[in-house]
Amino acid sequence: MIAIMGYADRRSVRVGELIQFKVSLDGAPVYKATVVRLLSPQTFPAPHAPEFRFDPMPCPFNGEHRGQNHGIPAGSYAEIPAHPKLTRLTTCTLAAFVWPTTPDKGEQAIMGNGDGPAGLGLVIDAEGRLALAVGAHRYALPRKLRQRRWSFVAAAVDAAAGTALVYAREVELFQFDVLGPLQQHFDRVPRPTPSERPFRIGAQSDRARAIRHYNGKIERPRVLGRALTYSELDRLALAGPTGPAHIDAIADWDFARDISSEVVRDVSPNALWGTTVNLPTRALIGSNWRAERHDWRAIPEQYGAIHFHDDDIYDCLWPTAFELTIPDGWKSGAYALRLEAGECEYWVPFFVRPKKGQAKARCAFLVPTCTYAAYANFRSRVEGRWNELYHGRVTVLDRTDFLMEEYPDLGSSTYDPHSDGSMTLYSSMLRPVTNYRPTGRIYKFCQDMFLIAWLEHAKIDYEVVTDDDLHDEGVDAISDYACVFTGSHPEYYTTRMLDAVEAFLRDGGRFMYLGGNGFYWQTAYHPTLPGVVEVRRGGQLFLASDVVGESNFSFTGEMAGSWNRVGRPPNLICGVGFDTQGFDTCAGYRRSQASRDPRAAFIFEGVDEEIVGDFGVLMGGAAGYEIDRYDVNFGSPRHALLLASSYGHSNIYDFAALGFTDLVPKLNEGDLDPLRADIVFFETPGGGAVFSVGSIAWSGSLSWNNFDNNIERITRNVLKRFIDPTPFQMPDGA
Amino acid sequence: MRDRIGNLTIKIDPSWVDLAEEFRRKPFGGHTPALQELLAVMRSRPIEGRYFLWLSKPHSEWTLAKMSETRPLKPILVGPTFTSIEEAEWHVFKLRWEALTGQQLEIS
Repeated sequence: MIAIMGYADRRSVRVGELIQFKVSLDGAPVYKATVVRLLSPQTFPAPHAPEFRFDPMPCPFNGEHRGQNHGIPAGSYAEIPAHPKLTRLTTCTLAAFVWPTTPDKGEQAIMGNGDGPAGLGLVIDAEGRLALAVGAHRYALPRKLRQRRWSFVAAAVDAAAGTALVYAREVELFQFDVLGPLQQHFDRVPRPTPSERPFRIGAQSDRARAIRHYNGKIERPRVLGRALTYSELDRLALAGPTGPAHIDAIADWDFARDISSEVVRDVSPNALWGTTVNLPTRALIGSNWRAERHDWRAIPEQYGAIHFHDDDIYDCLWPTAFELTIPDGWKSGAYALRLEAGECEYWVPFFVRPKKGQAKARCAFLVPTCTYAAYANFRSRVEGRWNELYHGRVTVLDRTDFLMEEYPDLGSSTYDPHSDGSMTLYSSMLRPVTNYRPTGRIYKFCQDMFLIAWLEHAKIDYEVVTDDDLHDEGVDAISDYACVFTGSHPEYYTTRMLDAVEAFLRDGGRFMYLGGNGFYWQTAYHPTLPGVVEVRRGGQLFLASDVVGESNFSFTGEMAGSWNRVGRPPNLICGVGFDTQGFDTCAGYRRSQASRDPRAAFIFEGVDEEIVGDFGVLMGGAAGYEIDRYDVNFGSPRHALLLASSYGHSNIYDFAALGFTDLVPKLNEGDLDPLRADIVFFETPGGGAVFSVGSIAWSGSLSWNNFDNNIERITRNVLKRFIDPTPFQMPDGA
Repeated sequence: MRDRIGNLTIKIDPSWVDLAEEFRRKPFGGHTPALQELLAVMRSRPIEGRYFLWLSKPHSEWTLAKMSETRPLKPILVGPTFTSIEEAEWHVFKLRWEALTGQQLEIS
């Protein structure tokens, strides 16, 4: 079957800057590439939804190209560049603490310089046993390593005598069923031959490729320059993973150092430092964690484990197929590289910003790229067992959704488990992302194209800024604009992004939150690597098997979880906070008495209806999917006007309200009235203001009746006033 | 209630035709508690072999499909093709009713 896929090196690019596109083609010799400006999503047939529109842009590489399949180099490991001290290992001891998650999956490399018949290494063999590998020979212990149990493992090779000692001992950590030390002596072990390859931890070399990926944690791997005896190995096991470099160390990698980085530091005098590849997970509890403190920054020595996964993927590293310097004259907005091969189509979206200091529009669409990254390749939508239950509908899928099944190495989102069952904490955009497109399920990026369709239809002069920019540049990214409005689901926010929006509001900025379940999860971008986010749930999502003690980001050290848990609820910034979710039907809003307040007159100008938004492309209403409510207990401003509340949500909205603890909610519809989306408006002391709709589905109603409806009118009224420089005044008594 | 592997274990009685009629009238939105329980059983079976809808024309045509019985999952198009999502939903309901009760749903 033909498959065409691609990605770009960035999501946001200014006029005059360079963007690079990567393309892989499978099953066909040629494909077609076209750069387009996106003007609306592919959605339902007219009359209530916009027609799918995109304009081809003049571009030198538009046209047919020969393609090839570049493969996806999934699987993480640590790599130490080839060095004579490691490539020519003969008499030595290899040792580490390990916590294997899939000991029975087939041979996996723990560490070594092995490459085909050359070199040696410590492995889990095909039977799940610890083994020394010398070339093609295996010297295994007679017992299996146990899944998800810490063991100290080692192999000592005496090349002159032709002998080896293989050793394993489980680490005692609160359990009563720990397996004691086991050793086996082997004779006639051949002398290890030199390898030319880098030393790898968590995988083995096969020429330049990495193979035999290990699943699980590794802590304090060491290479020692002589063959240790049984009693010496015993002492090393009992000494634990901390302490200075071993006196005989050729290399002694302490993973408790440089936890936020890709660096693997050798604390021996040889300084054989390495780097991690494909972002294995760091800041995880080690074999010596005592359950006394839960922040790795305070006790890094108890967080010296790295978890390697055979499906980790940071960067596909495909060669650049095309690069484009955004020409002068291209308008700020949403664009994409459209790829076509046979009946297969693939989109690589990107956003164009004006040159620095040349913003001209009064308003900007703040595109939630951080949220797109957290959901990148949301595998559970295809594979997840509960998807249909909490959506209240049979799941609808297309060919692009199934690319994740055809090419499992595309990896997962932060909602999905890894292949070994552990939770995915890092999610990268430097790989094809099957749910980042203007087609398919109307959610996230595709739904945000409704907003673009409305802006284009209403001929509003707008520009775009992405979350990536907001995080990188802070408030400078948006300070040129009078008004900034969000997409439908700005759920993932970093501290810097929240700080930037807050600073914008304190300086008189106007903020339209046109979505639902926003500002919900504390998120981290990697300090140096572009295009990757980290999410940890702090035990707060029913899908996530979080581990106690691992609720601080490795990227930043900050405490993770929901912003509610961290202490900065969404209500503070936008007046509402997540209430519940349901995807089967959407509802309308009933206006409150406060909507007649003179402060809100500009919002409802030309809107006489008591009920607004009881229509829409997305399940029949403007209020739904994920919804938020006003609540002073979580920090909603007391002077905010609660303008309208949705009503009549289905029982599916009860799942999330119950915290997903009961898979069979049994409430009647009438009991669910407290579950609602609230529309809220409030002024800020610097002359700014906030308007929030508390619903993902809002933008799905803009196009109803050929864009002639009360949701469109309200949105346009607010935007018109929000770009007017006249300061807002705080109400009396506020 | 759920069994050891997580399947909901509510017994479906083929005489509960009123619940089927309720679903047919209103496949999406609020349902009575009894129908909610029935749907929870239908919608929480293992993903392998489960029915889903293949989007055969963007948001206007859906083809009944099944997941393969093994992973990685493959789509198996079984048909028919629908131009109404409500009709597709009802069709799946009837198939699941039959699978759970062993009896065809007799409803006009």
